[in-house]
Amino acid sequence: MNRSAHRSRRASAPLPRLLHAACAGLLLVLLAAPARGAETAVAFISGLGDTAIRELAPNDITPAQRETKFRELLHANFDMPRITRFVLGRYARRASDADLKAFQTLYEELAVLTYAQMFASYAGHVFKVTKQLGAPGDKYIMVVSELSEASGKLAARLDWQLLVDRDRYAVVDVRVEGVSMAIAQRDEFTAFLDKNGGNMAALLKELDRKVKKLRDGRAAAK
Amino acid sequence: MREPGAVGARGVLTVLALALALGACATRPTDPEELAHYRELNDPLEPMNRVIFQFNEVADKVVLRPLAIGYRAIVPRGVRSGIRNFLNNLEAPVVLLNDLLQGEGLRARDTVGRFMTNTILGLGGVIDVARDAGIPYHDEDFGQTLAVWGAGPGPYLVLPLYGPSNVRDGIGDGVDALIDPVALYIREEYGLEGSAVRYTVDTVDWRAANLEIIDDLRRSSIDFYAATRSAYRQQRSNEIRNGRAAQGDPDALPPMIEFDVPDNIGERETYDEPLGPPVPPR
Repeated sequence: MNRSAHRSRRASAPLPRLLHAACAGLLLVLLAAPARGAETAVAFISGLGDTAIRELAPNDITPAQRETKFRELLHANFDMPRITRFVLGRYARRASDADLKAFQTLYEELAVLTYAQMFASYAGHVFKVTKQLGAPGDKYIMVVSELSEASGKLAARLDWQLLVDRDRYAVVDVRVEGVSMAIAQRDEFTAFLDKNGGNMAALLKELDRKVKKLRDGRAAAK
Repeated sequence: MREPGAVGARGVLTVLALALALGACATRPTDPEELAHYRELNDPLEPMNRVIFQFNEVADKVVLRPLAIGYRAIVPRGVRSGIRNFLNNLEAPVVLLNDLLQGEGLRARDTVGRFMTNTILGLGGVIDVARDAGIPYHDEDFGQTLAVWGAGPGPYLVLPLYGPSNVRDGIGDGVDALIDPVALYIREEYGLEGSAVRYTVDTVDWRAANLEIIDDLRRSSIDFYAATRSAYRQQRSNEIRNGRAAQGDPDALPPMIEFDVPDNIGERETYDEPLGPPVPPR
């Protein structure tokens, strides 16, 4: 019976860790200035992480400022068009350009409203890149990293899948304890579309409702 | 006095859930791509699972979450940390058994080392001395052991009050309950009440530690059931590999994801903007 308790705890554990690490991951990338001159993918992620930790400590920015910064850096460092199409799964191919564009806007807004305000709790954390996996010339590189509390307790293992596109890196996925954000979100969005007969309008309406609700909730909390 | 009825509670639930599931199966798609997706989700019992999931959600909102809020308000952070360490330490014997059954010698050594260190130097496990000495806690269970031995997961299951699982992991939990010396000792000495206290504190402490994060995820999710199912499937798969990717073993990482949706590959214009720092010549 006690093992069941244990199981229940572990079984549910990926979700919070997922969210935490998604925040941590995004934060690390978003707060970093463009790391020009980075020599390797390891240096790219490591530089972003160090900058993020350094800029994390001050908690004197407003929620709105944090969201604005988050949004800007999301655009600059993540390949959002590609991620957007991936998370729609097989429905991406059937969607019109207008729907894809509308979805991307709402999807980004949902990410901002979900994660931005959680970044403050990572103050004092230590980010360490372990290594990168991938051969020269590969389309993708995986960077393995760890986020730890100041006490040394491991908060999350983060794996970054980077796209090497022409002469740039872009983050396409963050895995938290092996749980891919992109796959988790694809599974969620496609489940919604499965239930609604593949109706993109229904998904856009639901996302719009969710975004408005989160925004109202944040405004009320101030 | 041992209570055999309580031993494999989760295993019994697994069988019950399967029995209930007959007649509540999801429709199997015929389109090849949809069929592949259906197989990956591994959730033929989705209609029944969703009902149980909703029940669990209500149980959480009405019972567990309020308990967790109260627990966090009353018990100071340091005491909660001690409770968590103590409960983790009690799991060492069953973790060790599964380390050994999976042939993980180094992890078995870590488990023994942690248990001895924390029990003796850490006031019976209240202080995690071993972690500070560089041996972090790791988990292991019989569901993982079965997977390492080659057993497939069986259909995804949501069990009442227990949450996400599958047939293999549900059976594994039943076996863990049977072979766990600490669980046996608690039942012998303290009866069902002892087991119930351990179970309740463990669950409430976990919920309290993840209060905001679960609330936030639930709030921002458009299909919390699907998000939970995906995370469970991925996390279990990662645990079975024992997170060896952390040591840089490339075989332990799940394969890289291909991000191009085939029909859209031609749309290169979206990548014309600079995406990040320049890549050095290789």
